[in-house]
Amino acid sequence: MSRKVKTKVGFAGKVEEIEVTVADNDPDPWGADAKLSVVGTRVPRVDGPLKVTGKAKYTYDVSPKGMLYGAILRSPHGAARVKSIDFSEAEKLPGVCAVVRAEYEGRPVERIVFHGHEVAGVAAETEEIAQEALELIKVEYEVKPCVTTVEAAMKEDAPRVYENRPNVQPGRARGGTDADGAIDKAPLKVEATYTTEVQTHSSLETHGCVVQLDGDGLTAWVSTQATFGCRQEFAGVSRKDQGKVRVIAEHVGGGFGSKFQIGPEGHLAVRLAQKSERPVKVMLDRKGEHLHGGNRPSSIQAFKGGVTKDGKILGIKVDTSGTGGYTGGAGAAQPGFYAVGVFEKSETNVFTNAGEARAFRAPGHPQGFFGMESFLDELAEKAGMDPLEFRKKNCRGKVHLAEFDLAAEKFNWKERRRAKSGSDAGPKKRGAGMASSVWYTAGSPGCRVDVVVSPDGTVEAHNGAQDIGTGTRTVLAVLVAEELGLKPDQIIVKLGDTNFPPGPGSGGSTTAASLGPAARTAGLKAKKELLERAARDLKAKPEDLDLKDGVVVKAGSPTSMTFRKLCEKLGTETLHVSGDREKNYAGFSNQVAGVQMAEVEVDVETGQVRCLRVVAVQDAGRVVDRLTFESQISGGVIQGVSYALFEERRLDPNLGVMVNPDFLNYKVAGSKDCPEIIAIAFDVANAINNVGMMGLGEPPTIPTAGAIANAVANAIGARVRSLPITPDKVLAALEAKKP
Amino acid sequence: MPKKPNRPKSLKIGPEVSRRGFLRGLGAAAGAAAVGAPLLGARQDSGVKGPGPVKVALQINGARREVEIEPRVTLLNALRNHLDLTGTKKICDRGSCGGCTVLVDGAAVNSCLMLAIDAEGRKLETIEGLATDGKLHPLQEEFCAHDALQCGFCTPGMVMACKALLDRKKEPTLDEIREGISGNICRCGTYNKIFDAVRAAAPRLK
Repeated sequence: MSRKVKTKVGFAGKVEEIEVTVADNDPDPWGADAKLSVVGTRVPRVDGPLKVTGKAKYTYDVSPKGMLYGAILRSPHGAARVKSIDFSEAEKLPGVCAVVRAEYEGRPVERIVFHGHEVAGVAAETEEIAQEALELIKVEYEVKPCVTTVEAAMKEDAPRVYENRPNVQPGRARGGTDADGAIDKAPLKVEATYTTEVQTHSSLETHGCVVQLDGDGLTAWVSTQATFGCRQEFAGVSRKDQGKVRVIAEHVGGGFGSKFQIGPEGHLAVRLAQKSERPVKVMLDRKGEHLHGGNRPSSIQAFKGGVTKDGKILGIKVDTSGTGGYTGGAGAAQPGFYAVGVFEKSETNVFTNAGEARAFRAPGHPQGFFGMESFLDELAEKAGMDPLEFRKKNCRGKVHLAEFDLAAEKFNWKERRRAKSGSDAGPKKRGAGMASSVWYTAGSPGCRVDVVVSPDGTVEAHNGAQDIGTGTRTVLAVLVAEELGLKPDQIIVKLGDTNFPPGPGSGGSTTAASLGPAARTAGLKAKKELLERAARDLKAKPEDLDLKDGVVVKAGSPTSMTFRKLCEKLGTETLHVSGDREKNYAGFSNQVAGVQMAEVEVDVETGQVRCLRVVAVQDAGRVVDRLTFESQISGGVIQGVSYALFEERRLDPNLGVMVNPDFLNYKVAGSKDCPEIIAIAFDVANAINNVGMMGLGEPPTIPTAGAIANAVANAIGARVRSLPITPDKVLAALEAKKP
Repeated sequence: MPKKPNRPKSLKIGPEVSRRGFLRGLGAAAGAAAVGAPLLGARQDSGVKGPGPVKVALQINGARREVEIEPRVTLLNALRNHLDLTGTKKICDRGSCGGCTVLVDGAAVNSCLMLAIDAEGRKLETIEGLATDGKLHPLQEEFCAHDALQCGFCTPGMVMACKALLDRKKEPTLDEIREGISGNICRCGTYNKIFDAVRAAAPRLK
């Protein structure tokens, strides 16, 4: 059952009233004029003290009694067949308790398709013994030819990754079919090809789990983004009912899209635990993490476009290809929210002998927006327009339009953008560039948050989903605290345990926006229940009472009844209420908009690029916590800087071996690489759920690489169309523009 | 019950170089490479220990802790796997991320590059020893206040690296802070907030 509710939506003074259909169980959505006390303030992360003291227990830190340490033997070859395998020496080593072959769909892994492919697993009394045992396993391989690049894999006579499938997998075609016609008619035309390299997720806590068999049940601590998905998988692998399987992920050391499944390490942990009859911990080492912990596929994006002399885009055609290693998934998201006339695209995934692609923070977007935003700048240049004006002219999003202006003002675009590239004195040239983003999530139904109030005034909020470091725990605390008139650190939020109510996997930036409205609903229900108990004592109707600043408020004035005294009225009862997440409404917008501007300094003698400053304007609907909001933006930007300038998985083309599977040679941004970051929340009242909150995890990393690439081009007057923008590419681009 | 492994002698690498001696050499070299770590004077033994488990006594956070471990066990593994001090994180295990940073005689050291037996007789400080009597250290408070953490996995190593920095520089500049934590990787991208936290903590620690 539902009801119609009028509510105010919009942004920056442009507020309008709309009517939304709200489920009966849902409170009225907070509108643009909602008066809130905690929501929207700067709230320190509620699990901060646990994390800064080292007390937070991650999967890696869990060691049940009698636990063994697991280790994985991986193929040293890019393509091979396992001819024979001998465990006898390894099994003889004192302290070794189990050795098993790696299996795929119940059969031993024989055909090796990438460097790092799992061959066997060991469980031993100590980590050191487990490592030593790996060296004692004798494997005879028949080494096969392998292929590591898109270009090589597309050749007719290329070695095939799969015997029965061609390497080239034509993917989706999208958009219109006559972009060529529109482009041909345009007075100005541009063609350009952009490439990006494979980026590994490199979560600091590697993938892995601890598996403990308890009678007919199983408990698994997992470094995961999807506790409930893992429960289902572990139940399948161990042939147990889901009700007997418990997955725990109290704290997770980073998750950027690669941690949805239990993976080969989860399968091995179960079999090692079964064989040894002991709990087993299997965590990947850093090398294993690079080889088989997921990655963002590469891309080759061939653009063609036409534009009028006054800068209106008439058509864009883009053909993309890329490799997701031995899996699919290569694709690049274009054209964003721009109006580009006729749009046509094709996507081709190419198999290579390399570790699998997995969803990575805004899959397809950082690469697609790097191509698209670079191409927009090239079109603008052709039309002789400023990139900012060009974008505004071809922009479809009203929030984007406002953000472009705000970003330009805060960044001082007019000053920082060089009218003439390379005009700075000396070898260090500065330049400015911009790019944008769009993202599409406001959370989903199908989850529940429980609030439990004890007679001593303790308030807990429970959900089984995980906080991967984004601040979900804190966001839920803020929302429950808002309704109960408490401070966020007075709410104990328990997450990451499938014994708690169902919650989402953390993908698509959906976790906080899925759970937040349910937490608010549960908090509100708890308040109503508690105030009914206060009504008789205070000689008031429950609806005249409220909770604020830790006391019961009657007709707007504080009473002497504190929250704690109120809870004492529960007697021996513990109040337990549930908030269901209802469907989203047709609110203001089902997308969030972002704009970033970057300033770089390029040394034209060394080719070194430094990103100096980034202004990031981001819409996330209603911002629940401004402090953790800033952290998400800042983190997205820094990951974007890292993608733009440093990260690149390198494979030996003959051996198929990754040559930089560590943190020395696989470069991720460090403290000296960080620009000054100005994170600006673009507040949008968006009655799309009862809080009005939207997803935030992914969007801020989408525009950064494009903005930096455009800034580099502005600084030196030559364009690097390939990520990462390393010194050799900068010098080559400078060399190429010499007359 | 755990079986006590009986280490075979065949573990020696060549006639002169034992595995332990080899790793010890690595530990000392890496220690010396760490910022300001005066580790070249590491203690010299005449007797050979191992390869089976040996008793090692460590001074951790002001308390003496004894543990029986193989000589090849790193300080990091000793802390995490044998002493239940899991605040110190294992991230790369190769000295390139700073996640396992502890203080050895006051200097920031990657505990994955030091053997536990080489830490005997040294003053060890780990993240667990920073808060006293349940009160957070000012650095820890500022990390929380500035949200200088996200997933939190690099955080203990970052906090220890920042402590080592503030112990030797009372008023670090922004560049000095960047330098001070340049051996620590954060994948969530909390660096800028860490700079803020260190700058806020510095005057409180004078």
